[in-house]
Amino acid sequence: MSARVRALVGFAAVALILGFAPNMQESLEFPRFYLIFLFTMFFWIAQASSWNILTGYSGYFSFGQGAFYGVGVYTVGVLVVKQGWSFMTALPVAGLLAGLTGLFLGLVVFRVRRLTGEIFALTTLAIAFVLASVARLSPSIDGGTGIFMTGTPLPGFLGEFTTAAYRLTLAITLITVVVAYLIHDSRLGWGLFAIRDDEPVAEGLGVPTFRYKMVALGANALLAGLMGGVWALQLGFVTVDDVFNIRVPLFVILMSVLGGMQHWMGPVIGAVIITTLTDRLNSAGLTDVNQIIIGGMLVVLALAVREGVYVRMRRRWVTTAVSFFGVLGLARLLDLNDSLISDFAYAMVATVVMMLVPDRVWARFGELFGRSHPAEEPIGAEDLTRTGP
Amino acid sequence: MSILQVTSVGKRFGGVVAVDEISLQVERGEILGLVGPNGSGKSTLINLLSGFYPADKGLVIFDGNDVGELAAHRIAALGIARTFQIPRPFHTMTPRENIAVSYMFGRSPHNLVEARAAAEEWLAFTGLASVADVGVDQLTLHQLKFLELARALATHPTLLLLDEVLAGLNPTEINQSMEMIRRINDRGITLVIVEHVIRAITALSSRIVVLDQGRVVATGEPREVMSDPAVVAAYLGTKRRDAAS
Repeated sequence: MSARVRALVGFAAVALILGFAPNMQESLEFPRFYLIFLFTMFFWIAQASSWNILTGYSGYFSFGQGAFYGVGVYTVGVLVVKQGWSFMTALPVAGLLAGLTGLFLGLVVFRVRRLTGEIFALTTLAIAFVLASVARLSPSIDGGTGIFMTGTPLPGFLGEFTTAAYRLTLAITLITVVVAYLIHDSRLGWGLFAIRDDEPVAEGLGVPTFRYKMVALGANALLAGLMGGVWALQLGFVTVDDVFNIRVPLFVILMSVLGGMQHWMGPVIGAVIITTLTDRLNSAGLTDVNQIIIGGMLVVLALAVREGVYVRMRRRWVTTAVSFFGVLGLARLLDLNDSLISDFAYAMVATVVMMLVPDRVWARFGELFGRSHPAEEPIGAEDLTRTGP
Repeated sequence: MSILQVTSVGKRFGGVVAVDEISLQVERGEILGLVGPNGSGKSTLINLLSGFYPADKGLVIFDGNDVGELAAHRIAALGIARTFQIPRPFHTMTPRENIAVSYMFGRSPHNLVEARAAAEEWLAFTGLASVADVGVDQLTLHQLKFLELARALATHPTLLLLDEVLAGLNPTEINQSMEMIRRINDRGITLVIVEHVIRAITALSSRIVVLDQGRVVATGEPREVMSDPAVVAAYLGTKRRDAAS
């Protein structure tokens, strides 16, 4: 079985387990807010992964995530509430419109050779501001009054409202991650990596750079819009200020940088860590210091683990497994906390701390115990850019 | 029929005329040497031919196709590859991956599995097999130049443009590189080489084109061109007339 088939089987298994988790809620007796928690986590995994398809793979630093997400939210809001469409017909339109927004942006910025680096980043940021103003000024979209999004009917086969919304979020997230995975090992992915490293050289070797950047931006925007469309379901009240703010673009950047931008798993890991910690800090009543802690952690990680946590976790997989499952088991045994999420949070923090040890120190540590650990391999591009044979 | 026909191409950057008007042709299977003092338009010409930027005027016909207006990746697909004077490897990739990604694109599309296998051939050909999987930052200049060659060759070009492959190398490395260039030519690949090392270019080239101030000042057999008074004046400087002949 090839690596790709194995991975796709793995994705399918994850889909089945998580998809039927709501049915097992009663028999496993886990609290309902676990589903809400997973719901939030999926949202961020999808947002970060879709962002990474453009920015992580091609190196074009985008702040446009908020715009694409916003187009998704507002498309569903307007079509379902104001036009009376069914949600399931509005959702694809949300993705489509967001995708078109991305392609339009791409047509403008990728046609002008000078629009790279910070100018590109600023241009993508500006798009969100423009769209916010359009939404605010146009009564048929928002008009400054906001949109109430309660009790949107969802297809019955998906279960009652929360369960259905959970499953839709899961579905979009899985699609996003699978797309990011498939691109990572394809010609498209490698073309994008080449663009990231040296775009003129890539073009000269035969990479159709303009087309590839358009595809990456289009995929990024479409997936972000789809997720935005589903997320509208749980927003309740959609306002311009809540939707088109800096939160989404900022958090996807934080998550991807933390996890690592060169591999499809990086944003996934980053999103899992940040959403778990945020959730725990909030439930511990530390909402105010939450951003200080997360921000501080990011600064430390960005300086100490520049390649991203995921790359190091793979190189030190033994340590990762031992510290994660060790701490998780210990926390369960000691019954530190009645919440499983807290135990996961402890395990994650322990694992991340283990990744902070610099490679050089790590190698010494290994010698001390007279063993050669995979951790001692130099940081090669192999670790950064590929999976499988 | 010649593989490349360049007719009256010109390129200016603002007020600076980089290539005034150049016409030349490259015969199939030959090694054409391109020489001239700094600023004579050699590198600009390489950039025009490989599509890095479009020419302001003139016509470039490659293998019967007008490539003057084409994007660089389309020109690569037709069979022109180039190297850079200062090596520009993909720095997050290993040498093997650098070559593989080039093979995946180039003249015909290939998938990752095929590309990894094909990279083997070019690693062996350029003698880089021992450093195939290290970071490119660990390579010497000599190895980086060979990686440039390997990456260009992996696109399966019929015409290869080499921009100062020998610059910065020591005499032993220059000899190795000259040997490499001959072996590339033996595979039936036509070469245009831009070079400052006169010893190498006279030994390698079947013909030499001398540029000065964006124009062709002489064309012909290496020996006879290098003793042409116009060339000596333009390229080697009038004071060294005796030494050149």
